[in-house]
Amino acid sequence: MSLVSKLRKRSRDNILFFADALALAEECGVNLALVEQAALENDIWPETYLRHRGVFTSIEQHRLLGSTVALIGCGGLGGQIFEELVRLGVGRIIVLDPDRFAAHNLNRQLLCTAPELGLLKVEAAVRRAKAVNPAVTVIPLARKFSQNINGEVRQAQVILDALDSVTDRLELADFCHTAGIPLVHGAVNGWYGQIGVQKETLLLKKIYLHPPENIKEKPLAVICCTVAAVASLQVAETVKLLLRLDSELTDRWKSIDLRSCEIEQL
Amino acid sequence: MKITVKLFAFFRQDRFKEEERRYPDTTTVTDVIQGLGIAVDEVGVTMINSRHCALDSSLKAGDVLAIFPVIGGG
Repeated sequence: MSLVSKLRKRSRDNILFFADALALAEECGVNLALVEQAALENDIWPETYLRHRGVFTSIEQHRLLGSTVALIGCGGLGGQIFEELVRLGVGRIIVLDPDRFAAHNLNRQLLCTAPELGLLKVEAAVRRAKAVNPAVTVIPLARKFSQNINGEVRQAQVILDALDSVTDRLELADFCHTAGIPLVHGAVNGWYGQIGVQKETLLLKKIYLHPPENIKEKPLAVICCTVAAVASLQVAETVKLLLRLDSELTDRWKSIDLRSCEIEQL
Repeated sequence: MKITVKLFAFFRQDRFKEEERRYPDTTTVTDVIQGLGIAVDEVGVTMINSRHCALDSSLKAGDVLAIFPVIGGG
C-alpha cells in the first residue's frame, strides 16, 4: 500500500493524529516531515499544525515544512526565534553559534536551563527541536558565521540575524546582499529593539550610520520581554518571506520601545 | 531657528521624547547631538524630516530631527 493510501486510511476528518503520523513514519521507514508533507499535499492536516489551519493553507504549511532558513546566533534572540520556527514547522533550520551556555544567559535565553549550563547552544537547539517538533531537521554548526560563508548558510532561503555585535551584523548583511538572500535583522538593548528586512538594498548600512570601528555600543543590558517581542517580529517577517506574502517592512526598519509601548516605522 | 528634536530608545532617559528647541542658523546634526550630551559614537541613525541624513547635515528652520542610538545586542 502506498504512503498516500495509508495516510487516507489512518486520517480521520482530514486530520492525521500525531501518534498515527509517528507510527506511519516508522512503518514506512521515512522521516516524520515526509509523512506530514504527504498529508498536507492531500489536504490532510497533521495534528501538530491543526491550529494553523485558517491562518495558513495546507499548501502554505507544506511550503514551510519544505523551507530552509539559517539562524545566525542562538542566544537571546536566537533561542526565541528557534523555538518559534520549530513550532511553526519550518522544516530545516541551520543554526550557527560557537558559544556554550553560562548562568548569565538564564534571564533571557530560552534554550538555556540550569542543568545544562556549559552545553553548546546549538546542541541545546537540536535537543529542543527533538522534544517539541521531531519533524524539523536541525543542522547545528558550533562556529561563527564568518567560518561558514561558503558552507551550509548558502542553502538558506532566508537568513535571520540574531548576532550580538554590530561588526558581525554588517559582515552578515554584506554577505546576504551579495548572495541575494533576504536578511531579517533584529537587535535589542534594555527595553528597546529594532527589526528590519533587507532584500534589495544594504539596509544595515543605513541603520548603523558609522563604520563599526567608530561605534560605541552601550554595554548589553536586556530583559526577556524585549527579546521575545523582537524575535517574534523577526519570525513573522520570515514566515512572510517564505510564503511570499507582502510586507511593509521590505527594505525598511522599525524601532521598538517597550518602555513607551511604541513602534516607529522608518 | 526652531527645530523639533525627537529622541528614541535610551536617549530619552533623563531627556525627552520630543521637544521644539531653538538653535543658531548654522546648526548641524552633530551640534544638536553634542548639545544634548549624547556621544556621537553612540548614535546609530539620524533622520531629518523622516529621511536618513549624515551627521554633518545642516538644519533649517522647521526641520524635524530624529536621533536613534546604536542597538546591537542579541
